[in-house]
Amino acid sequence: MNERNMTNLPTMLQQQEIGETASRTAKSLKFAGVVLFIFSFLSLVIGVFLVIRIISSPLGFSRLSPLLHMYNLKLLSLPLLSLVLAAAMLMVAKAARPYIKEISLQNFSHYHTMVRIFFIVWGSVTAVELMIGIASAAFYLARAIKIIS
Amino acid sequence: MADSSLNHDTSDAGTMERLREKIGRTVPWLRVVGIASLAVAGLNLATLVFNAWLLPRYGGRLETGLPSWNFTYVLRGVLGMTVSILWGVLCLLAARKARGYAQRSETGDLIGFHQRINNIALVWRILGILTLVLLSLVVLVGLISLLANPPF
Repeated sequence: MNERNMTNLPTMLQQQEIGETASRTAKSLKFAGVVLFIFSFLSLVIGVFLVIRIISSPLGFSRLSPLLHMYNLKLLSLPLLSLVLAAAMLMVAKAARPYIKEISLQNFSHYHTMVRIFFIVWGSVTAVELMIGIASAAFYLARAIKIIS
Repeated sequence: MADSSLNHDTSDAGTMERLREKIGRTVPWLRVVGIASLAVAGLNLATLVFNAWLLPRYGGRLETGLPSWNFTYVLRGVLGMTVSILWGVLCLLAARKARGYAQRSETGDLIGFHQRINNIALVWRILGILTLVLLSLVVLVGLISLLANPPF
């Protein structure tokens, strides 16, 4: 192995320090994951109720405005995405437990796999939210032009 | 004994090498979260300015039918924007540390990377506490209004 590329092994003290940080991270993510799960579930239930009310209105599904279709999409998709994110958070918190219990490089590596998965999920969720936000903003803009003109 | 210790060290070095690669592969995702969060914050700001300031001038209303200028709407918008900016900055800082570790493999960068992740988790925790407080307030207000005007 090339000397320059050789990976330094952290000392026991440094591993301990990382373990303590991981422990705090896991506690925060566990709490936030549980709260996000409850909040997303409630939002989903309210969202489904509102969507059913909008769809069963006398206007009918096919004659709803694009803005209301967008609103329906947001009501259902955002809580679902948050539920997925909450599951990823709880997964990281669970993966940190063996590492905090027994500081070993193997457990550390497993914890990192979960951290990586969490950021992949979070990145995907944020990207989808951004796309929905841009689509929604386009509808707002169209409505604004209509109102002004 | 010496051989087994040597094997252990080699396997540890291998694990750390794989870990370094793993952290290197996390960098693009950290950047995705960071940049997307900052973009979401920008979009939130634009929507907030549009809904709370521009729309009322032309008599427009929100999609929920509420007037576009109302306290909870603006508070939610400002809170969401602040949190998005915090996540964006922290994720980009974590990406920098992670890239530093993937390139130089210095343990200081690894510790710094974990501290950044801890800061991100801390923002999540604060958001969780705020959500719980707001949910409790909503339940409390609902109960008070139910007691004031019982439906039966």
